[in-house]
Amino acid sequence: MLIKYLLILLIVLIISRIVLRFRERSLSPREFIFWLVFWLAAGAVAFQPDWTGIVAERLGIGRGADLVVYLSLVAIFYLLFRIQIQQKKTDREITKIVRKIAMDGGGYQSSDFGLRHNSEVQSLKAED
Amino acid sequence: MIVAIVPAFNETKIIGGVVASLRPFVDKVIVVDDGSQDRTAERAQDAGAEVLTHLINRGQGAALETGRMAAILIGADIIITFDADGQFVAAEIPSLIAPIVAGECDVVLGSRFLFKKSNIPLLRHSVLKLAIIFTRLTTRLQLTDTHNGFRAFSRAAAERIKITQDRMAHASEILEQIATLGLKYKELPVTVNYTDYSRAKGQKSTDFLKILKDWFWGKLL
Repeated sequence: MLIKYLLILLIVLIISRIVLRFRERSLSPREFIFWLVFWLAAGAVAFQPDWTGIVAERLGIGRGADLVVYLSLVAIFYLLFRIQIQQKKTDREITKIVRKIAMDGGGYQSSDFGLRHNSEVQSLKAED
Repeated sequence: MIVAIVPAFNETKIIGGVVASLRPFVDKVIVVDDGSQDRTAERAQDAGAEVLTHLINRGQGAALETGRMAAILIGADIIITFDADGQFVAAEIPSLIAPIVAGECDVVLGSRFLFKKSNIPLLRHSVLKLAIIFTRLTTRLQLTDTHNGFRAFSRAAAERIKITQDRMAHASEILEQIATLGLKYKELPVTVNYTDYSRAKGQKSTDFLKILKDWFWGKLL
């Protein structure tokens, strides 16, 4: 089975990337462990597909391959959900920055007196 | 002080006229140029508006929020939201703000379905009616028009209504806040002119799907 060795080769490559990313600290220890366990499990399944059959039978799912497909789908949907939420948050952050620039450009500024219009800041400073 | 907030995106042709029509009825016009690629900002300024510029397009809700913050900072007593595409009639402002001036309520919402006859296309009419039912279910507000950009707020109300929905779902968001904050509101009839320009420029009837999606995701944050 050529696909088996191709998959295992691919997974080894991915794991080496994960280790590299962890070393250069662009992955947190938590993320590192999560992805390492994930890809080791994927590697185990590619290496010995029968193992999924044992778990599948326990869960009442006919074939091991079906179990892998079901789990993958759940994982993908969850990831999509997470990314969507993250995207929305990023959108709001961008809006905040764009708004700040617009306000600054319009003569509204953050000052010791909070966000005020320039003219008001002048008069407040004069009072001091 | 009465301040009109006009969110605008690529409205070169018409923004000058809209600002000019507003000026006799308000003390200040704030145009929030939402990342226009044309001369919207310049035309608005020439017509006598104060212009705040979003460097990139963030949506009508985001533009309204920027305008709201600015209006509060300059000391507005009454804040009006007004569309930039020329669908509304500025001369209706005095009657719209009258209940706020009289202290009868905090928010006045314009409605195109109350008494006055607007020339609404049939498909648009059906979608808007569905939106009204949706709003009745989610906020229990008994309104006749839930997606009308012509509104008036007292300063106290505007200080409390924060818009977090950057895109079109802000209309539902404003109504939800009116409901949860328990603000006193009133609907008054306004004219909405569906011109060829406004129809080409404005929302498509199918956009309600996008709005519903944004509304849903906004709830999750």
